Amino acid sequence: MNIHNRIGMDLASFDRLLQEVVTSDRDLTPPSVVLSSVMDLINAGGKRLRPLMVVIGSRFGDNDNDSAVMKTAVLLEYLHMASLVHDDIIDQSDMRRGRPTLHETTDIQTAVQIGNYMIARAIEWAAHSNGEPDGSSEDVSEEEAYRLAELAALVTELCMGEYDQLHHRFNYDLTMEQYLEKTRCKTALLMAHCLKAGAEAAHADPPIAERLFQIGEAIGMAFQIQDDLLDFTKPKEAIGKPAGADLRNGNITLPVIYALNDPALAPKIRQLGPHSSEADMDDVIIHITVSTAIEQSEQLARSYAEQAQLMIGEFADHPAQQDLQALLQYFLP
Amino acid sequence: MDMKLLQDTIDLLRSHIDSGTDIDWMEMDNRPVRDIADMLNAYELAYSRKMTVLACCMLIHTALDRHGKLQVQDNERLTRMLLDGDYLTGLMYRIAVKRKEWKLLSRLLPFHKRMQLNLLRKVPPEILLKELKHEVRSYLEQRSA
Repeated sequence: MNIHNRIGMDLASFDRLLQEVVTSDRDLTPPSVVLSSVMDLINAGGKRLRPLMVVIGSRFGDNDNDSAVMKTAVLLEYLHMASLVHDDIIDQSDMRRGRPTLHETTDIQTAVQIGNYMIARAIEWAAHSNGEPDGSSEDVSEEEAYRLAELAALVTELCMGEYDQLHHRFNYDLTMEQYLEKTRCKTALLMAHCLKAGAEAAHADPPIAERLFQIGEAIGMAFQIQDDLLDFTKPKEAIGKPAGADLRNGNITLPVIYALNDPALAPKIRQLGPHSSEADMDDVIIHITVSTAIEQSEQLARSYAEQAQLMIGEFADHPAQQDLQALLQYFLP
Repeated sequence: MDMKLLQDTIDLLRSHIDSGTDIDWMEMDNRPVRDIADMLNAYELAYSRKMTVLACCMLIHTALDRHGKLQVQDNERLTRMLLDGDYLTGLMYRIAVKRKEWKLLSRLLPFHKRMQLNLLRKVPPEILLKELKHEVRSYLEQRSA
């Protein structure tokens, strides 16, 4: 059984809600490149893990406020999709989920503006819709509006992770603390906020929402470290990019930081720069792949997963604990 | 020209911008928003609220400027401009929420959305800034009605 079925989240209904955000926008007049592009992004699929986390978080609340929960889930998924559109431009990625990226099918300027549109429209929709796929409207309370706008402001945190990555391009003196902070901003914070925002939308007690934030953060850190590992260990076909693509782009990830502690490997790594040959890159990447750096990185990912597990254990008497457990198992089998 | 309002707003923005971004407000061209600063002085509004309105306008203008300077040939500069624009837009949400200006934000959000659609229709940025001023004037009129 897949994770969405286990949690009881109907993906098709959720995707209809995502579509409704753009189809109900009266400022869009078909044919519109914005409308077709956003629909393509939605139809390309995706695991919808952030909305799933919102739904799980909401189960720790005491209020069955489905509309507020769904609006939160939609807004955070739009934020995620828009950030991927901009990330693909930064990373010069030409494919995502087996399809050409938006800036490839349009152009960079158009893709940037569509990403901007998506966030602004998602908050506008969330503030005025009743969260149902029928397009009916109902203005939210001012308190709810602030909560939604605060979630949109998470863009600044995501940017900080990208700024860090930019500042430390090919910086082999990147410290473990700097790497962890970058990882936190880039990935873990949004996941942490998804669990917390779901709980808050359902009026959960603030200490519970805060604990869910910490669980989401630990899961997010473990998830990103695993993603960094996959960049070295998975074949190109499995991840859709060449092995070691992060290092080739100057992005110093955890396996590289650990590999730099190897006196034999460090000088080889340090000689790599933006103009290194493919052969030199390939050679170092193969050495990292068979080094102890991989096992050390796996260990740190496991330690974050264990932290999450310990915190999940605190909810032993709560009926939604099994949902958190399923989430952890999904991310870190 | 009320330079105090402008300077105080710049100080407010600088206090909110993370040093890790490299965004230097002193390098920004604030001439296009001076009209809005002048307009704000004609209305009865608490000084701190005038600062919030002006700050949001400056953030919209600067994000627009940054996203208008994307050069494909230089990926590092492109990345910086793209991130700056995204960061400044996110900061507009944050400042409006922190200073409890939902009514203002509920005006600026649809404007910001339509601005993206207008940019795609190749409407020049100068026209969009005039529309921003019009939007702010309409907000101020509604408040004082």
